[in-house]
Amino acid sequence: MILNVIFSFYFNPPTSDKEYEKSSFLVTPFKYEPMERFTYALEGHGHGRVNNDGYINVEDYDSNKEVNILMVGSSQFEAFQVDIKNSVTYRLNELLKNKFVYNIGVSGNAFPESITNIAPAIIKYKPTDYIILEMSDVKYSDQELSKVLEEEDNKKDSESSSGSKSVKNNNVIRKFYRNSSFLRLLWRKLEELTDNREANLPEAKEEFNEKLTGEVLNKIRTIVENKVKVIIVYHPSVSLESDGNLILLNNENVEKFSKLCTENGIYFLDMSDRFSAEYKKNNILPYGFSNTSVGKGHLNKYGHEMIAEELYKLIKEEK
Amino acid sequence: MSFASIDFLIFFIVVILGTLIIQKFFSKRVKEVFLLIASYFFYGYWDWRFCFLLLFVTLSSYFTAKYKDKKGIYIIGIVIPLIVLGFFKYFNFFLESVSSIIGHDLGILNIILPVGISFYTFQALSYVIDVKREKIEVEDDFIRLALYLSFFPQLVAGPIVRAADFLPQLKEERKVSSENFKYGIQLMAFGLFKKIVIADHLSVFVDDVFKVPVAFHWATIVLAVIAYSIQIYFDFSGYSDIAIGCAKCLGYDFNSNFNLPYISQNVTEFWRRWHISLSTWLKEYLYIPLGGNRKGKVRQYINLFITMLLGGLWHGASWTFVFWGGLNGLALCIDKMIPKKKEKNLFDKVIGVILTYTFICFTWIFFRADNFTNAWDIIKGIFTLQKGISQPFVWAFVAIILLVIFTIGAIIKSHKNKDKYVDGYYPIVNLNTVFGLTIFFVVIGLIFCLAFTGEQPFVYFQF
Repeated sequence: MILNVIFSFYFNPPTSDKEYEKSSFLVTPFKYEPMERFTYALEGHGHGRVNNDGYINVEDYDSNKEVNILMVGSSQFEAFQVDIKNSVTYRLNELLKNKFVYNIGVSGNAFPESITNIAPAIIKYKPTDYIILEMSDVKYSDQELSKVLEEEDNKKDSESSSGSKSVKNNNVIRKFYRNSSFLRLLWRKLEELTDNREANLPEAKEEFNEKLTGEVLNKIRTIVENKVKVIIVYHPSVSLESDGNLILLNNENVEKFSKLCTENGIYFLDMSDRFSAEYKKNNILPYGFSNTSVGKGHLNKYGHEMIAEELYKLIKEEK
Repeated sequence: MSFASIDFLIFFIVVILGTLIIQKFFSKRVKEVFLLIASYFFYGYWDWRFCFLLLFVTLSSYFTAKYKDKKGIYIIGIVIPLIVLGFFKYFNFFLESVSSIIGHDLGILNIILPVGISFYTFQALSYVIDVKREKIEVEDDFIRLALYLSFFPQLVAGPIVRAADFLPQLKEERKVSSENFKYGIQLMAFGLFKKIVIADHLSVFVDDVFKVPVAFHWATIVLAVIAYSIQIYFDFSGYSDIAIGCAKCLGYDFNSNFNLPYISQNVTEFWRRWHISLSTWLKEYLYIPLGGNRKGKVRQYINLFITMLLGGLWHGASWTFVFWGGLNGLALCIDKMIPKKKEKNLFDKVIGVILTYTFICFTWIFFRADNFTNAWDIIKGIFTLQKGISQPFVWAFVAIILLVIFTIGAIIKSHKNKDKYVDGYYPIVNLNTVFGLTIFFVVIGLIFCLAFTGEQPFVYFQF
């Protein structure tokens, strides 16, 4: 009990909605229990409340209210470990005063997996202006890309960052577990330990597959109605060189990817220049927090702010 | 096998249970053999080949000490551990240094540095020298001597236990008991907290800054240097606490290795409080044989300086360590030259602590830096008020607060006991009470949940 109280301020993430996962109409591989309060401080510090729809937005979802811009993505768009009011969605809502920006980003739902559920997302939310997707690497394995093209429902592969697979299956244990910040944190630490042991496996190296990538982008364009514009936000990982300069990682194929986007009528927002400029001018990095390694991990509030501002510019230019 | 691993937890449980069973049903001899096998298993878990080196050093000490009166054999007894240490730890350093002097690359050998070699070779030396000095008797029992040199709690990162302190304990009837276990397990928990909760989290920040110092704001660099001073203290004293606690669980006593070093009012006091087992070893087996303070002031300063230079080299085969040792040696000499006030007021004490801590932090820059360029980048960044990334690392502030709280606690405790010398203490609770058990399990919960789960070996393993 003492530990639960202590850790409720440190690690109390939202839990996944089991009822939703049983449904055949999945907008994202999973979503959170509606209206749950959450706090986490493993990376940075974030707290807030899941909205009535199971996603992390300041505003509740109202089916009568038009969604103008739909944000689809992973923990980065979810604003994992960042205060809800520092998220890209919240900032974009502030910038685009007369548009309603709605986020359905959830942990683990990275590009290209997020494309799998894009069709039901459009049916449900009917975005009028934009669908915005995000990615930190433009290169994906052939297997990942083929999976998207086969349109397999991959809900079983996705896992909430907030819990474990086995513990969630039993209702009694689950109830006890979800109410215990201590047990959830303990479980997470054990998972991290296991992950570290498995981390030494060699990474499969594959070339950038232009053909398959193009087909995936074409699929997005086919699913989304023509009047709705698609933006893919590319936010590259960064690293510091020994001389203090910023280097952008995994950016070898960005030009090719950007060209493929243009060919398929998709806007490609490359954050590389903005990230570099911000570092050069203000020594600010888009990733990392005051309790983690510099420049690594999730987008911090500055990263969210930069993306929101660049999206705002792009949307304004397109008007 | 690191103390901060699941593997060690399993190993430790097996050793404790095994020792309990053996002491109930078998003789003390069986227990000694069991502990010896366990210690070699513990060491061989890194690399089984290391065990042969340890055995070789043990055999050499065992036989040469028997012939202590024969000068040649005594010298062999001293030289063998030094050759082992010199070859595995310093040979490549020597080649690289010669290469840079002659301007011709001599290449390097592919030598793996055996874990803990600096510690057990020093223990082997202390045994041979103590026998020669007749401080202890020759140990005829090979198992006991082998156990002394390989005893797993102190094998890989100390504390450096002197033969005169430990061999007599092996001859006594020491047992795993409820009282020992309750005390020892709390020391282990305390050490683990220091290591995997504080030191390992600090390492993330320290590594970032020392890797690219030119990218950071000067205030962040200062914070990183402070963070490193706490990291190395919590890392190494945490390891020592686990080692002492582990030995205590098995019924053996090791002396304290750290005693609130950062409240030292001068560098001499710092070295009485920091890595006590090493500074004691260096004093007894290097400084005093060199002449100590018996041959005049100038000679004393030279002896001090040489001792610290070699002490620096002991930490690692790099000129930055030698320089670090040299700085400390120089500071010790200056400290000896300055006349001391008999009675110090609070202001003098606080100024003394601040100056000493600042100096020690400055020396840590060379200790932590990969090379002199790296150290210079750190110093330059601070003194030129460099602009760059600001990283107010939260764990650094948590560590500072904890250190200050525990230090104030120790000062109050010493004040209450009317002790002139402030001593550290372990926050031991009575595990026979519900309150004590609650506190203990809360601490265990905190350790598991706040632990840094990345791979971060103990800093002193490299030495």
